Amino acid sequence: MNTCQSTVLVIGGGVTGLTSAVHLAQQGVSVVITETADRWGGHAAQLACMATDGCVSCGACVVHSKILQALSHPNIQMCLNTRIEAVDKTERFTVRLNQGHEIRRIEADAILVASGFTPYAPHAKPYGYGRFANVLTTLDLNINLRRHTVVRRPSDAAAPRRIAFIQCVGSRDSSINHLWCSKICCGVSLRMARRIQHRQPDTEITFFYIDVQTFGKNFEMYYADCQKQIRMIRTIPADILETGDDCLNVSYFNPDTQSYQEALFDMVVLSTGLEPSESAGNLAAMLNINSKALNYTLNPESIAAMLPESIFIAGAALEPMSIAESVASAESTAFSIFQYLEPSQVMPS
Amino acid sequence: MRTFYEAVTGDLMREQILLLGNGAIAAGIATSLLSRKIPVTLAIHNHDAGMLLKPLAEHPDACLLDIRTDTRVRHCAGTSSHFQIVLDQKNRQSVLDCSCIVIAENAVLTSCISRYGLKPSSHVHVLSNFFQNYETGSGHLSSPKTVAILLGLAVESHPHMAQTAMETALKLRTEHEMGMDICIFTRNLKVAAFGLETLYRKARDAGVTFIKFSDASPTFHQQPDGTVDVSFTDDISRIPFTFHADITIVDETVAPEPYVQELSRIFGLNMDAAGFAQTENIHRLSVCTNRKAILVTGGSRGVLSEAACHNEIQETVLTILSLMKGVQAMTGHKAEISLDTCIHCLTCYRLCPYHAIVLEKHPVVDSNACERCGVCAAECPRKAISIEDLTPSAISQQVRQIRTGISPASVTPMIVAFCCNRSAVQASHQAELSGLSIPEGVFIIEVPCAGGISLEYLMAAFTGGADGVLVVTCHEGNCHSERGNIMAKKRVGELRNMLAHIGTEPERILLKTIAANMPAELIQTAQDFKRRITNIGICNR
Ligand SMILES: Cc1cc2nc3c(=O)[nH]c(=O)nc-3n(C[C@H](O)[C@H](O)[C@H](O)COP(=O)(O)OP(=O)(O)OC[C@H]3O[C@@H](n4cnc5c(N)ncnc54)[C@H](O)[C@@H]3O)c2cc1C
Ligand code: SF4
Ligand code: SF4
Ligand code: SF4
Ligand code: SF4
Repeated sequence: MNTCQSTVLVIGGGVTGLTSAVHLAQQGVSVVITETADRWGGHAAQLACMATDGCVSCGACVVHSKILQALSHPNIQMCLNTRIEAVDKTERFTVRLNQGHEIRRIEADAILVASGFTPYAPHAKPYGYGRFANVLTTLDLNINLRRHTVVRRPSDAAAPRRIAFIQCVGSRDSSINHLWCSKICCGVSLRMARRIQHRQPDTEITFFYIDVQTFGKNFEMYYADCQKQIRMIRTIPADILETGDDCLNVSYFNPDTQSYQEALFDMVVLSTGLEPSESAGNLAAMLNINSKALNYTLNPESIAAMLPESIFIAGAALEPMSIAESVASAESTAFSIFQYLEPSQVMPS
Repeated sequence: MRTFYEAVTGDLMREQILLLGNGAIAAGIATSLLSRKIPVTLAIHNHDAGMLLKPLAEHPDACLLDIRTDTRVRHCAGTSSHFQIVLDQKNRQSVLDCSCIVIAENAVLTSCISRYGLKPSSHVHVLSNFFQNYETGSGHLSSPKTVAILLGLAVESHPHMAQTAMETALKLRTEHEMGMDICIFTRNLKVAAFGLETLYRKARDAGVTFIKFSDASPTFHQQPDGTVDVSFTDDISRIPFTFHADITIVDETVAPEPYVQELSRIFGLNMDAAGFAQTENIHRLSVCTNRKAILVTGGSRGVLSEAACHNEIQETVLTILSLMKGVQAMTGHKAEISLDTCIHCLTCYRLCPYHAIVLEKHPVVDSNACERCGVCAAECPRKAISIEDLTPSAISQQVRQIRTGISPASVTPMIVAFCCNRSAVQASHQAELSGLSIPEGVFIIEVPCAGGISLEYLMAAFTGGADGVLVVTCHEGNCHSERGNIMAKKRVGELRNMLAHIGTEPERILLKTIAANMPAELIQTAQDFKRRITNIGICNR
């Protein structure tokens, strides 16, 4: 097969899909990339910069150069607001795309699933999310910080003086059968906490956690700094009640005093984890692959082993991962796809 | 000068990929390159290479592979167009021409035994090779009853260390002598990898005890027979407690191979704090360095999980293929040195962040490796270097053009904003997309990197009629040229002093750092600065 004539369908225009698409296009492969949303970049494109005195390598800004690269590459066809409706496989894949008013059919030789994740929706947790104005998720706060650069309480636009972060919301939780660590949320919260204190130095921050996961190259130093500036309490709060003045009363078991205790905050941030993408089940059915490949229960090697050779999965669709890891996953998967399209070059194993 | 692509495709047998390493990743990369008929020289700095070499030697294209053991890199000249590497094989030196260099050394594990104040004995073992040593070695004890695993107590650990610890505990608990009392002592249990939360629960359910410390630490006392007493205060009862461990298993830290640090110095690679050959700069994702066509992978670039290491092979080969296709090439005019004016001070040679300037009889820019950052042109004391579209007079021209577009009667201040292409310019594009507009009177001049914003640029803006000059760069640590933003900051500082000296308000110039994903912040910055300049007033025109 000549790679110049082959087409790859990339499902999902997040950092993973875009990175893979650019690499494949650079190797001369034609790429069609479909995105259900009305903008490119997936979750990463909603995130704010966490720099303090300098960049803290959160990775969020990489997605914009990936978008520009993809948009300007002649081998890439970019389709926003596009839903995949049916996939047929004879010799090649025939895929029916629904683009709102128009139904299109395209042919592809390989498919990359880069449908990413869905952030856990914490409405069912006893933290009043959706009911108390000043309980936000880390994603909500990211979106706010991109728009306003300083933190304000949603209820009254005042600068919050006391903020609590609650970790592992929707992760490491047997009650909802989420038996995974979402990997990114410790770093997300601590970087965000330090970023807020950098701009609003009087902010007192409390961090409720189980274990702090290592992130970044300079973790040891970063963590030491966090321990100095942030009150770290090793417990997960039981519940939250709203007070008359829109403050939040958090009750928790204090491991130091071995007793239940309450504390007031102006704002509470839930560090919500990653769940398999909402569209995972539907995609698995259309692609005729085992739904376990997209539900975070198998490791990436086992997933690769059970996929048909023309279907690939990369990025946060495989398991929770950071932007840097998604880029790496996208690159290595792009190479696997390229190798599949170019069998003459493939090494006899 | 030939491009990398021509070099590799044009003369396959002479041009080489130089691969440095002695592990599975190096072997994987070699195999993949050979299958693509790309010739490889594999230089191994020690001689212990048996497991790796045999399968490689049997590769159908093994004729394209040159394996050299006991070989170290001593010197590197040239650039991505053509590196010349001095290799030293047991004191015999030779020169290798190559087009791409891949550093693929494994990381090294160092046991924390001495950090915990313990001494090796048949009762104290290292985590990663516990079973090999314990089952085969003389250390096998007849019936140990208690096992302590010390994990991440000296330095914060990593998921793969936690995985080994939990697997070891689980195996001892379930497969070995039943009734063994196993305690994992840790601070933060690192479960941020596939399956570790489940593994943790499985180990706990099988009866492995996890004791986690937050602020306090356990103390260790080693008995004369080598067994260890681990003493701590129990979290719940607050009672001091001592766990007597027949066997103590100690974790390890992960560090770069010392040779990697030596290589970084030879190649001029920016290292991270631990000495890995890649900084955390996001522009280096995944296997790139500050030098074009010098790649760094696996345990040479950081602490990676086993699964990630497997993917590194593919990422590296893909990056090599991209280099060969020339798709990573920076387009546009490159720096040029005028030999008439150059006085050979070698400032440019020392400062080029990409090592794109080579020393022949004179310093020469390799246009292939030049990234147009402008650092050399801005810093050359003789102004002997120019980039055609980025000379101070080209900038001055742009400023004059802006000026002519403004009515002389206008009361809006004219602000020139020098914006780095990789951050502020992208933020301004997004601002446009989301309906935010740059305030009236603020004019963006795009530059490839802030490192090229010289004093001449800044002065050209003022002499061309600007009432204020804004310099917007990437955040420190996020500069593609590593230090371009820091250099710009220094020059802005100098110009502030100069302005103060001649009686102009130094507040007329401001440097701000902004990331590509912060459009609102860019607009806010521009508005605030415009307000400031409006308050100071328009310069005499
Ligand atoms: C609050 C929060 C903060 C974070 N902060 C950081 C951070 O600081 N640093 C970091 O490294 N990581 C961070 N992350 C993680 C980061 O968002 C992910 O690593 C990254 O987004 C994964 O990229 P992806 O492309 O695999 O998935 P996604 O970003 O989820 O992108 C998937 C895309 O596919 C589209 N899609 C889904 N299904 C379909 C379908 N059927 N058809 C077509 N398109 C489809 C989606 O609309 C989406 O655009 C954070 C995550 C969250 C939730
Ligand atoms: S990597 Fe993160 S912290 Fe660094 S500049 Fe980009 S967005 Fe900001
Ligand atoms: S990364 Fe931290 S907050 Fe997120 S699930 Fe893991 S331990 Fe919990
Ligand atoms: S900095 Fe200028 S004068 Fe010095 S060597 Fe380079 S070109 Fe010549
Ligand atoms: S412009 Fe930058 S990359 Fe090019 S030679 Fe000068 S310093 Fe080096």
